[in-house]
Amino acid sequence: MSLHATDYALYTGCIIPLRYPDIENSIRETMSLLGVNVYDMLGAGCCPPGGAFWSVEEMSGLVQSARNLSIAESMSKDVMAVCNGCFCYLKNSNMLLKSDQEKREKVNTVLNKIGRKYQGTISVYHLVEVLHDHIGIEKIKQSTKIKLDGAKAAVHYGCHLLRPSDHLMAENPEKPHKLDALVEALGMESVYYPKKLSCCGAGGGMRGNNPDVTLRILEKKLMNIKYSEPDCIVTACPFCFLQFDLGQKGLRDRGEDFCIPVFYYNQLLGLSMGLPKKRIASLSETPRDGFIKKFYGVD
Amino acid sequence: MKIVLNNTNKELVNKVIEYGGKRVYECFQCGMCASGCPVASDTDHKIKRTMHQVLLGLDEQILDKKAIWLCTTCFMCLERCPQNAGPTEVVFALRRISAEKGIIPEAQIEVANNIYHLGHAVTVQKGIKLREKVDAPPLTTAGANKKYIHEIQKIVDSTHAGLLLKIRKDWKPKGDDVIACD
Amino acid sequence: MAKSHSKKKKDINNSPKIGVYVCHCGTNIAGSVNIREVVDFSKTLSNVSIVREHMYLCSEQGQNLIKDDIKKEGINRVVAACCSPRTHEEIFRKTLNSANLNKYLYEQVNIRDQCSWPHFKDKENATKKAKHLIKSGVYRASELEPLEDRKLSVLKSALVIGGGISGINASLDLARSGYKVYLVERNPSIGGKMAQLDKTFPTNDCSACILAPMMVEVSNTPNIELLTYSEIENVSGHIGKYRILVRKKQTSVDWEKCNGCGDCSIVCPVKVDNEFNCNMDKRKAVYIQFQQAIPMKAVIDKKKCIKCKLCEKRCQVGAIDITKNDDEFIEFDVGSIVVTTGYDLFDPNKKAEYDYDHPNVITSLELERMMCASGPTKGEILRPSDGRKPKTISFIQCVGSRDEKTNDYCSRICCTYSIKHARLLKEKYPEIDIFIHYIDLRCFGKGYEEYYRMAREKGVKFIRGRISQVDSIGDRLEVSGDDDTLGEQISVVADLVVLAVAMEAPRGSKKLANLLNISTDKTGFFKEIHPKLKPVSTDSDGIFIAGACQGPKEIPDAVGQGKAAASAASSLMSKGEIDIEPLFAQIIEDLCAKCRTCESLCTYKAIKYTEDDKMEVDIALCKGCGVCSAACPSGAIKANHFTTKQVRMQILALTEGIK
Ligand SMILES: Cc1cc2nc3c(=O)[nH]c(=O)nc-3n(C[C@H](O)[C@H](O)[C@H](O)COP(=O)(O)OP(=O)(O)OC[C@H]3O[C@@H](n4cnc5c(N)ncnc54)[C@H](O)[C@@H]3O)c2cc1C
Ligand code: SF4
Ligand code: SF4
Ligand code: SF4
Ligand code: SF4
Repeated sequence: MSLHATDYALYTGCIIPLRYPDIENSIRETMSLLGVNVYDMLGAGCCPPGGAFWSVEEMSGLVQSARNLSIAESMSKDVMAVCNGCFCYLKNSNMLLKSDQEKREKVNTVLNKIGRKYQGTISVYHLVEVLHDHIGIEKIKQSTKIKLDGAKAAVHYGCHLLRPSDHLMAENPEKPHKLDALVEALGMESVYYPKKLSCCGAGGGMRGNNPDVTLRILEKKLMNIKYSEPDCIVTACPFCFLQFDLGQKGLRDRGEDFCIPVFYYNQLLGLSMGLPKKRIASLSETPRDGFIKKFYGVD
Repeated sequence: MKIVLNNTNKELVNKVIEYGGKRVYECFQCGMCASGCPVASDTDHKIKRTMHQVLLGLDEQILDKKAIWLCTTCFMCLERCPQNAGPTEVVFALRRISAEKGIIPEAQIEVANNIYHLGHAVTVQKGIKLREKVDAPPLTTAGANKKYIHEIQKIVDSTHAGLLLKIRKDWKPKGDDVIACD
Repeated sequence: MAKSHSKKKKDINNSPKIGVYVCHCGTNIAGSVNIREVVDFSKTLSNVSIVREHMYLCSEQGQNLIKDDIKKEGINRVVAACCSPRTHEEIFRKTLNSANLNKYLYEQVNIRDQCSWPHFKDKENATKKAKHLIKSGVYRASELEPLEDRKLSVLKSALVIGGGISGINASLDLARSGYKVYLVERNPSIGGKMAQLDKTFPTNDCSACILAPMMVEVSNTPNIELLTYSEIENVSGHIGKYRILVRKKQTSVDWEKCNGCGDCSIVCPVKVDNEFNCNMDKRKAVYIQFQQAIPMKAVIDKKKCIKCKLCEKRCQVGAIDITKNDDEFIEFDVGSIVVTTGYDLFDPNKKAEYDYDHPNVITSLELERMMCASGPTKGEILRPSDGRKPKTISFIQCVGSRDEKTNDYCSRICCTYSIKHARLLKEKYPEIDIFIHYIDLRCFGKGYEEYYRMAREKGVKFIRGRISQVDSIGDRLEVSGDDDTLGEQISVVADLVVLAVAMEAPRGSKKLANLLNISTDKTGFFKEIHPKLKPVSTDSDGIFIAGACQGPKEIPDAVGQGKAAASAASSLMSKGEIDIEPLFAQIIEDLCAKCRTCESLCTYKAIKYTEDDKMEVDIALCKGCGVCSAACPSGAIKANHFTTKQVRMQILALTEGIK
């Protein structure tokens, strides 16, 4: 299998293409400027998430992941996942299917019905790994035009980029540094805040099942973030992004004062490269224009 | 209420092992899992207690109370458990057992139906409009074409998930809110 | 017996030149005693010519400081203001020695244990007290006199009391090093508690299989004289030469003739509770203690024998004479003593809430006997009430341990042995439901944590929370308690309840302690001099302790200590003589009026009137307590190193006070 560091099958998942297509644009365009080619995975479905299918039957999760992986296999490209959940479950399935012959056979019996086959020929990477490990901080620094001097960012890694670490192996699960390094490559300071690695409160079906609880967990997370008075929150997961973006609005609707701008990493990267805000960073419930004006000087 | 520890469900622990909680026996009740759990202080989901209840076979205490569905699957407990007892895996196993008993929350049903009927966890029409708004290229994923959705339906139909997640042919999405994704 | 020591030492006739050395002991002293003030104060004292401070005076650097001052500055008395003489006096005396100054010209003032530690909240008074003590030390030092050590010869033989695993190891090690060993055991056989165990944690090897070969080795070692069914009747003498009187209880069987065939037991009509099996079955009035007994000899239980003489008739070698009634007494001398008398178990009747009266409530040792293939149930676990196999077993931990009402200490091993029991039972009967009710699980030894994990993997249920009570309901037992994790009251309906009873000092410990003149601590176990640095030494030189008689411990530690005690005893005996401090009373013959007041007062019987009309001090017995010296109406007794002058100077210093 080609491990060509400049070619990836882009697995967009559900939230990015259908709720934050501006993030999708930011990924496509920044990657292209960094000399990385991303290719669409035609017909890719939901990863699927742990909260539903995995929670009722392992095989039902596995077959759907395997279908997605088989699409990338047919393109002979490694997968670049741009969502933590997608990364976690696709990589986990890939590992499981590579090592467990019995499960692989079961899965292939099912895939056979739709004319697909899982072979175990590719790897799954997270966007953060591609940026940090494959492209490299230096190249990213060189690609930017505008430096975010003086801006302070609260980095949120998100659970499924880090854990379970013995499967994902993307980062040191207790002291990750890649996203911080990427943020600092833009000239910002990545600030310390307590319980940085804790959950945003969205996952596992929580957002849907328990709107109250989800906001309470988010509120705790935000209180910790506020402690370091950042100018923005940066993440590389659309679901965490959504939780911070919509969640802050939810808290504001309850009369609470949370209004920290939230960015997906490539949105900031794109803005620093001079890409237009409208295409790459225009969809959010929590306003970001102030930040963009202050640090990029654009309206 | 006093709990009598005889005649509890001795099969529960074996079932949990079979359904993915392979190392549940390793738990020695240190509390590391519960101490870092993001939902512990706001919900009834007390993961250390759940581990213990599994070992004791107290199935009603776990399955009837639905607390296992409050886990955000953040894997913090699994990451830090000093015995590698895999508490999140035990939660998954318990959810699977609970789903077999027909106990499954609404959000799970909603997301599963979305995926089954639309190819994605969220509604597609709204997404297509948003894409136009930001000049995104046309959608190429499963949601773009019925043939892909049929593929997904076919493979889901060859598992038990349709039944367990109460997937209905006559289903209509409730709304455009994003309920779950990971 | 004592001969003088004739090494040439520096002339000390010149007037006292005292060096005072104040130690910080890190922050132990400096944290609450103002060192600067103390140093300045010490400089004002008469005869003091040098005062120095040091972070750690006992370090090589600190000791060199003292040596240099002796050599270069002519210091001829040393006062160290530091920690306890118990641990450090010997060290600094050697420092003086190596600088060629008589080691008895040294005085140690303990400003740590007596000032900084107890008064850590009151710096001012701690400092004041330190000054007082240093002043008294300096005054006394001015009057110190050089003294010479004496030599005492030491017999190359040892007494080991108690033939458990610890005593067996001590005996074998001593015998292998060439010493004569007398091993005294009160039971008919050696082996101790370990002989009653089935398998042993942490490796689960069969207890008998690893113990029996060692017991056989004891009986085959010519250097070891095995005295079983015997107890210590009297101990006199002193380090180097103790005179031991042993009472060998009457067995009415001639062990020279007895070949251990056991025929006598078969014919004996009297059935008696079998202590070895925790009274769960019967033995006969004439019996061999257990199958692997060493020595393998019969004993007649004189209290139970009905004198039918059936055994006498039956014995083919004519070993039995039931008319023999008197105990035998054996006397011998040894150079040192190792005490390894082990432990006894807590009487569970003292915790009435656990209903030990109920036949199905048993102790762990009873369970251990049941599990043993040679035990009363041949290795099957059966409910004593009806002989049925239990379906549910609850283990209750800390019975009689960690409890102010009984013993407040932790017995250290019951956690691990209950885990052992649970594991072995689960292996044999996977269907039995097993609960262990604990407060903490203290499985601290090498390999023990892994041992505990394996029990969890076998499905043993661990419930944190102490059990309140055990009640009988029908033919079963309700165990009522708490489950910490559930935060709820729980109950288990069990068929068998096993009490993990505490380890206690063995019965008769107090009496033995008195005979040997060693101390016990508040728990009744024998007391070591220093828990960390001298774990097998007692306050009687030449007497060592090892194994569970020093405190609860498992086999690995009991063996380790047995070997440690053997090594301590042999390093004492190896040269055949030892130095003893000259801190004894000395009669000034010219002044003595032979009134013999001293003789009657001496607790240690160290002063005697001799045939040639003299009072003589036995320096090996004399502890230098000074009672005789204080009482002598003629002032004819000088207590070396605690002379009247020296003590007076100390009193003077303390009454003068400090400015
Ligand atoms: C139920 C149970 C299970 C256990 N399981 C294990 C295990 O699996 N692994 C493990 O490592 N440990 C285990 N132990 C602990 C083990 O029994 C002890 O560590 C060990 O026996 C201590 O050896 P000892 O020689 O110090 O004392 P003991 O075995 O008690 O031997 C002392 C000997 O001295 C004799 N004696 C006492 N007083 C006198 C006297 N005045 N004069 C002459 N003789 C005297 C006694 O008769 C006895 O023979 C267990 C203990 C119990 C209660
Ligand atoms: S962290 Fe692991 S061992 Fe500790 S209580 Fe939780 S599951 Fe059990
Ligand atoms: S995975 Fe679930 S149980 Fe474990 S810490 Fe996260 S929310 Fe809690
Ligand atoms: S006393 Fe006689 S009968 Fe009894 S065991 Fe000894 S030899 Fe045999
Ligand atoms: S070892 Fe365990 S059972 Fe024994 S006293 Fe200590 S804590 Fe209690």
